[in-house]
Amino acid sequence: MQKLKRTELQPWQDPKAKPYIHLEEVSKDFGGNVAVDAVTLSVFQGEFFSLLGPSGCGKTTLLRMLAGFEIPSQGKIYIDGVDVTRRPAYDRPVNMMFQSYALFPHMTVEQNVAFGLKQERISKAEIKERTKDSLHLVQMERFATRYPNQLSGGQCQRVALARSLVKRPKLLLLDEPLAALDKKLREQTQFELVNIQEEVGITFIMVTHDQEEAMTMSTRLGVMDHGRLRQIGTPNEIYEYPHSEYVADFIGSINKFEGHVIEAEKDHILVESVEADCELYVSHSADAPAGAYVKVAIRPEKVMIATSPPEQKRNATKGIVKDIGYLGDVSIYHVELASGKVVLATQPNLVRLAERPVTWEDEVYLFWRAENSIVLTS
Amino acid sequence: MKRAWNKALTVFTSPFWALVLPYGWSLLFFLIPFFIVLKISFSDLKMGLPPYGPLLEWVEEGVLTIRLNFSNYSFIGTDSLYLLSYLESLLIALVGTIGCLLIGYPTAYGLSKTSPRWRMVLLMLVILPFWTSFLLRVYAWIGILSPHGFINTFLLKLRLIGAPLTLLDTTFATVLGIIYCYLPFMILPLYASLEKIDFTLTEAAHDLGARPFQVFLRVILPLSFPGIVAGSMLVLIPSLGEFVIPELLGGSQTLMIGKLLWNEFFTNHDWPVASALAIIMLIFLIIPLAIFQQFQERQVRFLDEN
Repeated sequence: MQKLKRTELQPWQDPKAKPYIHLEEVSKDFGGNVAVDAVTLSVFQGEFFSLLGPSGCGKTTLLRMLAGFEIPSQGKIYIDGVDVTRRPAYDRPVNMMFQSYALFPHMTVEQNVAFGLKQERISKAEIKERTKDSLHLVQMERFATRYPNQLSGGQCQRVALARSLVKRPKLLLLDEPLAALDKKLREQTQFELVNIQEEVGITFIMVTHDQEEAMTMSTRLGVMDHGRLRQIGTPNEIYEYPHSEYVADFIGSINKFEGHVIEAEKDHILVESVEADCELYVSHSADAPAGAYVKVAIRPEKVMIATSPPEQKRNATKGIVKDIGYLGDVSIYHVELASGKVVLATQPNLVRLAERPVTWEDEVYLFWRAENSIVLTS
Repeated sequence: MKRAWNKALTVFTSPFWALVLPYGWSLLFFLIPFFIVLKISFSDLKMGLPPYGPLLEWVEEGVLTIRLNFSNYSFIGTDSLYLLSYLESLLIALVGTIGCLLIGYPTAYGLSKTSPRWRMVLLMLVILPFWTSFLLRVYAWIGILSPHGFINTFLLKLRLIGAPLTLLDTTFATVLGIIYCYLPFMILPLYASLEKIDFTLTEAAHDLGARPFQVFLRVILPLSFPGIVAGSMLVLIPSLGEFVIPELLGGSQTLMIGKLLWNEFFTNHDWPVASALAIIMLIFLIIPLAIFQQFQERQVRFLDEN
């Protein structure tokens, strides 16, 4: 049911849709050090948008500008059509969930959640009601009278979420919300957070360096590097159709073959690659004329392994198994080609370890389908 | 040789010695003198050396009499001078503490917000006055406040006043001296507690709609409360019994208990009454100290749970 809602929500496909959050050529310069470089971004109402990138890529600075903790050096920020670029943090319809949670240590859970409401002209009864509802949403009512130091990390995270949602902001910012949790709890909380977001219908913008987190939780994500947004798209688009080598490398692992374009047609591209020791046929067009130097990329799980030669001649090569990484559900085969290039191929472990047909130092054939590879031009 | 030295060191760093040394020190230089003073406070005044009578006396064979003279205490009770001077001491110390707090809090807050490089320099400047003699610094204020001093000369030259203002030998000068001398004791604990406050907490408060003053009132102030209490106690307690500052700056009209004590001992040579006064003062000082101690214990327990 929730999945259905997710697929229905695709306002970015609609050219007439009005963005809810809009950043226009936003830059931030810290004394000559450009943290954010001319970022233009539109996020739509109800979206769960993730900013993904390595540390120091400017994603947190971008988030802090949205919150009002930093003022952009250049550019404008609009929230629901209103220019908020120069508005202080306390005067924006935006709330933030901090990475450290930033719960007030001298206040109980209840007082923490009520803090934001007490800044507004709201009756005592309503404050109490809304605080209770908010704590109910994150299943923390039982801990209302506890102090933050009496809570576990996961419980603090819930309180922080309740506190940032209680004011019903137009936009909720999440700074690495799950970074402080252990792996098991993190996976569980990912889905909970998505469910809560759908329940309250508030637009979320999350900052994370964890690609898995960004992939599972967001409607769309933006990959950042050196203050620039390299690519914006749905998790599927980013993973399957990365525009650049940077994005391809950042999300998951990928095999890349260098080569020269022999044929560039509307529906396909043919690349000759010494490195791959075969002709690479990609069934989509790319901005690369014949003779251009390009890289063809293929995800490890799309590479198939066989012990006998496949029928296809293109997108097929052979090599020696040098290493096998056993991960339980899948194994990663490191296959060295004649050119010395090592190709990764992920295979599900359909049979037990002892019975698998391919082992170290075996000669194997690698092949993949033309529509699964991508041409990277930058 | 080195081994023997190390061995000796481990002996002194063992828990036993670590306790015995400070407590032994306290016993020798605090508790024993305290009991001597207590003893004198119950004895009779006598002319001679020592200027007080014995507490224990052998009468006949095998009979030991103890003579406790409570009149020293009742005398202090009957003469309102003592109560008044105690109240004045308390008032002066309180005003001085509040003054230190009003100047010290913004200073400490500013310190905690400056860049680490500047912070060290500024902290040095706070501690720097300790490198000069305390007496010298109080004397310097005489030069500033006296009728021919710096302030009066300056104002006279500017023709803002016709005759020198009476600044020295006033209660005002005493309070000023207390604020000046004890300010570092206020700033340092305040700084320590303000510096510990997580800056993201103030951001979180801003984010939740609190304006700067509200952030101060509801987040920074409560979180720096331990520093306020510690600083206030460090200023209040010693300034209550202060002698040098009221003696040098307060003149004859400022009645502080420390000065009175000095008079009893050295002018009147009435050691028993002086001792009784000292004991009473100690009891009054123990009350705020006990409150402070209890507060600190609660604070430590709170932090332990954290």
